[in-house]
Amino acid sequence: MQRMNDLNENTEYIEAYFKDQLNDAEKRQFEQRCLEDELFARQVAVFVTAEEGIRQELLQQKQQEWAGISQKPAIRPLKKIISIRLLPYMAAACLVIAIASYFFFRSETPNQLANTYIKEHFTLLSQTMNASNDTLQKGIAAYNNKEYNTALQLFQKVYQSNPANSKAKKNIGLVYLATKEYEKALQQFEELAGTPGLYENPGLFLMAVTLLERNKTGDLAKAKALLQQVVQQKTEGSKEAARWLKEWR
Amino acid sequence: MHDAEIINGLTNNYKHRSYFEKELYVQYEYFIKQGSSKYKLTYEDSFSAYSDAVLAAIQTIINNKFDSNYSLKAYLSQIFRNKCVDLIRKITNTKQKIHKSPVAPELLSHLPETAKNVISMLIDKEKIAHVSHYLDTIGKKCKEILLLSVDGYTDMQIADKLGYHNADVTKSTRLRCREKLNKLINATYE
Repeated sequence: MQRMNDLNENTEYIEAYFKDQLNDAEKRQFEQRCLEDELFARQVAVFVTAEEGIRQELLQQKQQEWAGISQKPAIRPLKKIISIRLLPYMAAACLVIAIASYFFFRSETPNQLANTYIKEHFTLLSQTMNASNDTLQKGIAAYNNKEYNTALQLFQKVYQSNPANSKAKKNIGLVYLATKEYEKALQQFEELAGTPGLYENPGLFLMAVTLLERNKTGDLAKAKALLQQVVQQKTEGSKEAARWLKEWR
Repeated sequence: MHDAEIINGLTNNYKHRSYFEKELYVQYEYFIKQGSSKYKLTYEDSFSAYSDAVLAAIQTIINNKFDSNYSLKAYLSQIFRNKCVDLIRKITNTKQKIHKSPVAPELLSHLPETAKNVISMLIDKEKIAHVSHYLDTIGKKCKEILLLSVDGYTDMQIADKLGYHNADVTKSTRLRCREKLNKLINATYE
C-alpha cells in the first residue's frame, strides 16, 4: 500500500520533469535518482510506458480521422480479384463509364469552384501573428462562431481606428461574402485592391471569388478578367487563379 | 496555408485545433507518396509514419518548442524521415523474428544518455501495446481525459471540453485516472 502511495505521489513529479516544469537543479536531481534509486527508475519506466501507450492510442484515433481526408490512391491487387476472362468486359465497362463521366462530371463549374474555395478557406479564419490586436482577434473568434453581426462591428471598429489595417478591411469583406451581401463585399475588396503598398493584396482575387459566387449574368466574364489580372500581376491568389483559368479553357 | 497561420491556429485557439491539424496533415500529405517510393514502404506504412510525424510535430508546436528558424516543411520532413527509418527497422526485425521493437518511446528523448539507458532497459516494449487494453478497462471518462492530456490540452482546456468545474478538478481526476492506469501497468511489472 505504501509502495502504491509513493507511486502516486511521484506521478506528478515525473510528469513535471517531462513537461519541462522543473528547474535545472531539480532536473539534475531527477536524472540522478533514475540512476541511483531502482524503485524510482521503475516508476519512471511505468510512466513512460503509460505515456507511450496512450500516445499510440491517440495516434490510432488521429489516423482514423486523417485517413478520412486522405488522398489515398486506390491500388488493389488486381490479379487476385479479376479473372482474365472478364478483362474485355471490364475494359468496355470502364470505357463507357469514362465517356459518361466526361460528359456528366467534366469539371466543377466556376461557381462550384468558388463555392468550394470559400468553404475551404473562409469558413474559419486563422488568427494573426499580432496577438496584441485584441479587437481583431475577437472579431475573428466571432466570425468563426458565425456571429457575423458582432464580427462586422469589431472589424469595422479596428478599421475605423486604423484605416491602414488591410486585414480588417479584408475581413469586413469576408463577413459580407458570408452573409451573401455581394455588392458590399465587392466594394470592400475593390477598396482593398486599391490599397497601395501592401506586401500581399488579395483584393482582386477576392473580387473574382465574390463574382463567381454571386454568379449573375456577366459575372463570369468579369471574374475571368480579374483572374487574368491576378495572374499577370502575380498578386495573392495567382496560383489558384491560374489553375481555374486553365480548367475553364 | 502559411506556416504562421497553421502554428497560430494550433496554439491560439484550442477549439479550432482539429481544423488546423487537418490543414497541416493535408499540406504535406504528398510526403506519403514520396515515402513509398524513396523507402519502398507500402502506402499504409508510409501513411503510418507520416501521421506519426504529424502528431509529433503538432505536439512540439503546442508545447511551444517549435524552432521558428525551421520551416514546417523542413521540420516535418526530418521527423518523417526518422519515422520511416524506425519503421523499416521494425519491419526488418519482425521479418527476422526479432520480437523486441527497436522503436523507442518519444519521452525517452528528454532524458540524458545515461538515464535513458537505465529507463530503456526497464521498459518492456510489449507492455506499451497492452496500454490500449488497460485504457478500455479504466472507464470511458478516464480514457478520454488521459488522451486529451497526452494530446497536449491543458487541464483548463480539458475542463472546458469535458465539463469539469475547473482546472483543479480536472487535474485531480486526471491524476486519479493515471494512478489507475499505472497500477495496471505496474502489476505486470511485479
